[in-house]
Amino acid sequence: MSKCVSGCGRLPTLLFGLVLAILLLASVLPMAGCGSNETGEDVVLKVGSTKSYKTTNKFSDYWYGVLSGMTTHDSLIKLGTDMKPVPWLATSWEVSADSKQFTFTIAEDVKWHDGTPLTPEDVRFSIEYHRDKVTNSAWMKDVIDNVQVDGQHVILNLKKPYGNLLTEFMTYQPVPKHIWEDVDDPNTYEGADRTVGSGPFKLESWDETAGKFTFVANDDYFQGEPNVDKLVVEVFKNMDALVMALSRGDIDTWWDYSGEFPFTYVPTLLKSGDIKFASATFLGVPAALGFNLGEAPMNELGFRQAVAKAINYSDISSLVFYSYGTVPTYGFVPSTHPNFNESIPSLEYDTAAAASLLDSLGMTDSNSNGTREAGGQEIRLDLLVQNTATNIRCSEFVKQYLEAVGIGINIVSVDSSTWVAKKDAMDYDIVLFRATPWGALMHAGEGSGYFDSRRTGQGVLHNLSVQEYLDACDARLSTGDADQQRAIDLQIQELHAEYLPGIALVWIESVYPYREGWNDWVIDHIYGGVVSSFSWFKVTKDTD
Amino acid sequence: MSRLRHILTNNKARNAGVAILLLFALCATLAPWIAPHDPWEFGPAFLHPSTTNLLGTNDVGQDIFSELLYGTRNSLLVGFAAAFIAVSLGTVVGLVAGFRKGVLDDLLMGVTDVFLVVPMLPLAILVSVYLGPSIWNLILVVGLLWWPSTARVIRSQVLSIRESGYVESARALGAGDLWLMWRHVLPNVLPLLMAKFVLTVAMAMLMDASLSFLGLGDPIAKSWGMMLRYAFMRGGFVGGMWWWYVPPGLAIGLCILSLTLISFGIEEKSDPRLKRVLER
Amino acid sequence: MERHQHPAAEVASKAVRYLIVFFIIMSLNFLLPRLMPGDPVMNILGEEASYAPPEVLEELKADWGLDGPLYVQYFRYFGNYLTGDWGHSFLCMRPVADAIGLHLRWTLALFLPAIILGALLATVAGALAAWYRKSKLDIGFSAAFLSFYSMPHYWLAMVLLFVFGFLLGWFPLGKVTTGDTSGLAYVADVGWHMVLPLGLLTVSKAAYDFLVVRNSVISIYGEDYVLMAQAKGLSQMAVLFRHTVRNALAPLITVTAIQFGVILSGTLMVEIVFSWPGMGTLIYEAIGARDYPVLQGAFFIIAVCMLAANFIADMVYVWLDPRMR
Repeated sequence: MSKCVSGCGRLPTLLFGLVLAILLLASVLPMAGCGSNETGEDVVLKVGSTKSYKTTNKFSDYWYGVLSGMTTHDSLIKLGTDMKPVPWLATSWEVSADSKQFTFTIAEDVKWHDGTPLTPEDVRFSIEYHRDKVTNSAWMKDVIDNVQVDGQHVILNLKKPYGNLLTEFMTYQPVPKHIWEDVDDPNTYEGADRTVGSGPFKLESWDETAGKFTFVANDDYFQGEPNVDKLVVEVFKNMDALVMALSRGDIDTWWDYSGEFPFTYVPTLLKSGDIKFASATFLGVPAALGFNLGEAPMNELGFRQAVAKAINYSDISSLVFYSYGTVPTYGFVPSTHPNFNESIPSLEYDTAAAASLLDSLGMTDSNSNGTREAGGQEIRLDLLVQNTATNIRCSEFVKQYLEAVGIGINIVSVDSSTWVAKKDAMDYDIVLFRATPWGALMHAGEGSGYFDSRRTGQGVLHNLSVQEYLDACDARLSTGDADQQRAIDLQIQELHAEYLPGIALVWIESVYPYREGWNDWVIDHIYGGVVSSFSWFKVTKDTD
Repeated sequence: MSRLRHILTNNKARNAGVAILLLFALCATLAPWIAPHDPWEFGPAFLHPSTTNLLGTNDVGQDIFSELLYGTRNSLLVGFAAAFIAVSLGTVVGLVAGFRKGVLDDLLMGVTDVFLVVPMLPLAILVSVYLGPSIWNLILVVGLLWWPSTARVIRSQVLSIRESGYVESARALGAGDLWLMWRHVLPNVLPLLMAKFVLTVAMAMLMDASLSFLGLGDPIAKSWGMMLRYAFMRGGFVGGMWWWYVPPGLAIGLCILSLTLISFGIEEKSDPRLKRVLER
Repeated sequence: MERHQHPAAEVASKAVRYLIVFFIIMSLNFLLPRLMPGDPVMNILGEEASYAPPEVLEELKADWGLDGPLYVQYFRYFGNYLTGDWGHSFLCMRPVADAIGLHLRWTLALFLPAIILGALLATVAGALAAWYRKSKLDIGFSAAFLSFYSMPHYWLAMVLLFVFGFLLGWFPLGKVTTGDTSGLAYVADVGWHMVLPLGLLTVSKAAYDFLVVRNSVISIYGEDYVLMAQAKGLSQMAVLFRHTVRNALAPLITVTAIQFGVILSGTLMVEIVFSWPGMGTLIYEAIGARDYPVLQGAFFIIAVCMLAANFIADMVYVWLDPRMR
């Protein structure tokens, strides 16, 4: 079969040529790509994010909306590091005794990015615009009756008492009336001026293909110029690519609204040497179990208590959250919450107690197959889970713990859209969910926004309809008095512990990686992380 | 049948393929006995390879080597079961279409046309989101989506065999359709069917690996695709833990390579005209 | 084969069949995404979705054309497509045609060169392997291409990205451009980003084509005109590339045409790993967000391309193969 007579000599030459050509091509390309120009004096902060940004319309693009709230736009007030509202666009505010009238005093000499002054009239317009035109603030329709301007004051008259309005307003930002007053559908407005705000940064460009926002400092900012001259937000499709970029030095830090930086990457980044970590207690709950209270056996309080005792919290916090976790209490929200109730006991892993609770409910394993029966039926429960890697890992642990006490678990892992649909249709027995920092504060606070049966929303369980709980929520919403608020906050946590509509699996210490050389970050608890509205004015970069 | 035996012997590459596949089958069967650990047992995470954990441990401290062994079961099961469904379905459709012709043929071929035009992976993702994650659903998805190419090939074979003299004469002697199919057509397309089956196994395994990687596999079952998913999502790649992400990828590759070699062996020995490329 | 039809009639009957297939696909296009559990409106609202009154949700549904019974939506969908209106994407917040245009561009930018380079590589390697078949060269090429063909491509992509992007730092960590460049620098930047995915796809396309070329060259090997050419004193290489390669071209074209659908969507996994904003990524994200309009549009485009490619392949086949004429 040897056919090689004369052609063989040429073959290597040909191959050699081909290889050479490919090598040449490959070596020319990278050199051309490296020619970026950075001026030495500007302080440039490069931030990586994995959220899905599509447009620069803050109304239609949820994630850009969040980003713009830290950069190009200002809210009236913000949540301070001490968990109390701090002035921002509003220099002061007043709440009437019946919580039906809110008066904000707007700062003077504030300008929009286009040079037009920001007036109380802009604020009045914006609140009504949100109420009437913006879908995700449609709750205002039920609450806000009218808004009036009196000098530098903006006065909100409510239809009903709403004591949590200040918290809610931490995430809404006024927009310029002269740009938006003629826009009927904010979602589809394409004008280039849609990014105009009053914030510390102006949006310079958004390159969708490159996945890159460039913001420049607003040197006319009413609170002074930010320390960062240029802010670049680079969008990555997955955490893996982002961590590689961080480790390689392409970006300085990471930011995702209400996200937790995955602890699995911490060792790798520590090893790389140039990455430091800031940390703060996460205001939300990264993993929690919720019960379908309309179905047996979850409708039995004893059963829910047994589940709470069957779970090995310290193992979850050490094995799934790599010792960045702590064991939660029965009260759901973590200890950094305003008005945290310290008298509520910690959750405890006690399988014997779980077993005897189940026994006392008549749920015994009479056929000795390892799974208990209730009313003659095997207890096999559907645990509804979103199919992200961390969630699945959590659910694997929960399954093992519950099966150890004789509660059969079938993990139903679905994508996020299916999860929402099944959750809203109450098509589950137990559900694994998470509470974001702002989510834990919304409604009447203390996580009530997730459990009050009258709520709706993508991440919300709305499973608890006990009158006592609903009344407490209403009472909390209708008072503006700090002492009363505190009393009800403590009560809501007690009621949560008593009725147990959900169990926090872990509380965590969130970590925020940043490149060495950056100092004096300020951590924002709502937006999550070192990249925050407060950091812009504090952060410094070593000059080298 | 002597022809079949001839097909099954004497080809080096194919023998290598069979040997590799047998090795995997052995791993799958013996997994509970040869796996050094229970692959579902949690423990200290991210251990490097050692004598106790040959390939270290994953993000929740499960033994990677044991996972790999158990993963063989999942991959082979999905591959063979899905291929069985796909090839059976394709054969029936192909035989009926080729034999009956007319309206039924047009209809069946129309359906296969639709399947051949719709992009497979997105369709599979869509259907598995609808059905929910479990091994059996995955088998069903691949099985029900992958039959058209078999149907096409079988049909064209049936058409050419039909025209050959002996089928015509048998028919003239009053032979029924079913009997004809069984006696004359099926033996003739058998080698082709086997090649198709083996290739479909490979395709199903690749699809399983892809869907599992996207998080659409059974979350509790141990599969190679799932292992790659966790390695990617939980820091294995960036952390340079090659012992975590290289073995499952190599295992998938080796399995598919062995199946491809086997299918080539079958095709080469059966009919030179059938020497066709793999249809992906 | 047994139908001895006039070529024109053949084309006409094929066209009718394609039309029916097309109709079925359009219907599936509508139905399949809607079978998935989940509500796109909830995705528009965002994670916390602070309380929205039910009537607001209803209004939103009407805005997006998701109200009314399914059959009404179905007719509306057909009507819209006939008038060229592909709807508005929930996910990308822009017309579907724009969203698809943006992603299709990047898919083509990657895949057209991959197809051509892959075919070239395969032709050279396949022809050489066939010519010197059973030699070390043939075995080496065959083994290399077969192994490459067998590996899951997304896994190879991840390994490439890790080694060449991260460890060695030669190439970027995915995406198509760094941004902030224009003109020639932009082209170079895109080229730099393309090296890894293009290399991977080229070799994977070549691995597939290699077998086609090798087989078809082997099949004409020893035929009279090849021997004659050799007798005429043409050099080995000249004979190889002038005669045999030309023969391998027809099956290569057919295979490429049939692969078209795979190319437009099947490299979804590779796109995800390389953060490449192509059709695969778009479809994947659209499935997650239940973005029905984008899914319809994407599947529509792919179906049209596939049908066209199949039709052309059929015609080329009829034209090339004398037995079919």
